[in-house]
Amino acid sequence: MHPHDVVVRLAHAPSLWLTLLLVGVVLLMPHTAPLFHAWFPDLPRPVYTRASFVALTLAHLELVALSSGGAALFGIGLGIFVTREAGRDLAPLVGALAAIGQTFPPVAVLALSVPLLGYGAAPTILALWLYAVLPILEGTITGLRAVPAAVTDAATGMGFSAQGRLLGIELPLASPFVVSGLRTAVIINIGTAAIGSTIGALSLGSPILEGLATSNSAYVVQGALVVALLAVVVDRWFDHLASMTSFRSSGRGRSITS
Amino acid sequence: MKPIAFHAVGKSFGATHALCDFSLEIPGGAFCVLIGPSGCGKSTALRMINAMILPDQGRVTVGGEDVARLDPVEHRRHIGYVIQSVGLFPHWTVAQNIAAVPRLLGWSKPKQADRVEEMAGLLGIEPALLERYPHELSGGQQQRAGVARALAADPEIILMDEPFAALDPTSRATLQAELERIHARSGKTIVFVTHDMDEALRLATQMVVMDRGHLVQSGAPIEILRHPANSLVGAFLGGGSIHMRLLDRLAVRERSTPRRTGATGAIAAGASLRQALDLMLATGSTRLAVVDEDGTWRGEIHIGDIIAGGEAGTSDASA
Repeated sequence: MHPHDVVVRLAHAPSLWLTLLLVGVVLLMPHTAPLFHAWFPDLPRPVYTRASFVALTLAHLELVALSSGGAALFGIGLGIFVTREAGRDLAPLVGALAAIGQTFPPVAVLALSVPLLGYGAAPTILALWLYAVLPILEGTITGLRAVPAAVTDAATGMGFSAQGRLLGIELPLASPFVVSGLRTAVIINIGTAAIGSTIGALSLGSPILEGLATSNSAYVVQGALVVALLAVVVDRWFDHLASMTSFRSSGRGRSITS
Repeated sequence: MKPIAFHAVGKSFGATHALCDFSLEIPGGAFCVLIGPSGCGKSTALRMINAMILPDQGRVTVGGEDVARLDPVEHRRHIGYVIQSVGLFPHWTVAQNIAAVPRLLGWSKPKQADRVEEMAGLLGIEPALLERYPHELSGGQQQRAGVARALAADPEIILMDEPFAALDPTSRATLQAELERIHARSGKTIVFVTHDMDEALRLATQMVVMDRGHLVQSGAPIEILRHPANSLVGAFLGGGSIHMRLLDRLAVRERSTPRRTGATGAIAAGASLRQALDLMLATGSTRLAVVDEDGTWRGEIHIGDIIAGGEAGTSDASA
């Protein structure tokens, strides 16, 4: 693809504009005092200043990235294991455990992990990790099971090693399902990470919580606005990733130029 | 050319005996067709040759070497493999699919590209299709690509498990003809599983009839047609139409005699007796002139020649 085409395509994609909007909102937040003062005239300090919104957003993204990344490694690895000959018997058990993991309320996980991990980012990352494992695991298992038996049979019969077949054939074919699971996990975590601020993790939940505690609605709006924008932007970028991996259903080939 | 041999092979899946005391020699260069009703063990036998299934008892040898002792991955790279559902890799182009085994074997890119081009020519795959993805191809084109992929690394042995069963009759006949041509030209050993008797009779140099895990009869198709080992083989060969199938396998030249009684119609010496009978029925005559490929007169064939020879199977000539 010509570099110019990439620019043209992005210009038409909402993901680029939404990303610019997010960056603009985060950077310009300190200068919005007149706006929020007009909206909430009774508040003496209408803009959250305890930490910059740049720092809050980066901390929030770090929580999401570490937990989702860890969950991706674990979920994809476990998904691969239970679809191999050796781990096939464990598949129902693993599925059930992951489902149980997701039914725990996030606040309960946070409360339970504080005595173990203390206050701050670590228990938050543990809770988010637990939440992200199930969708990624399910996506991986579904994707690997959706690979047609004829394809794996042909690959084995032609002389692919088990590893070569997994990396070259099965995972690429499963990737739309894996990406879809990862997308669900990340979007859920962007929302849930805000709760981490209840146990002292720095996140976009910090202004929301302080706003709730001190009856400062402006803080709540500011935190919620950035969290919502962040979720929408990340979801748009996953849309690009999904269309890159779902060439099969769309009938679009990677090496075909139109 | 490596011969393939089964030595008293047994295999069970749970309570099902897929193969029982199965022994068979397939000489190098043979076109061996395994045929039998579904569940007779023919696919199991086929998949033992490339170590996809290992025997419980007995040994399978390829070129004298016990398959169970070979590195299965390395072994399979030197054996072509074609299955009914084709199994092309959906995320690879047709060209990448055809080059799959050469790539596994570490061939250089230009050598891979040359071979893809050669295989496309051999199987009649249009060059424009090579950059397409499998789902953009028709069933017949997909199986052409499947066969091309199996042949790409120039294996001595090719295994085919009902490769044409899902195709429409026209594509099937064309691919059968091309496979026959490739076999005749390359001298590769082909082991082919089917449940289609016409396909088996057409392609086989060695036909193996199987039933419930046992080998029932093995031999040249024409010998099996003439002397079915038992009533089961007879029934499987087509019951009442065995003799018509035999006429299909015999050439006019084997029954023609150099006499001249003034027959009006003419038929090629290489045509089958069935075609001669059909022409007689169509023209209402009982005598046909027989001509060679270049059109020179060779003799005549009368309806009595067809009937007399066919019923007792006395002719020793082979098709």
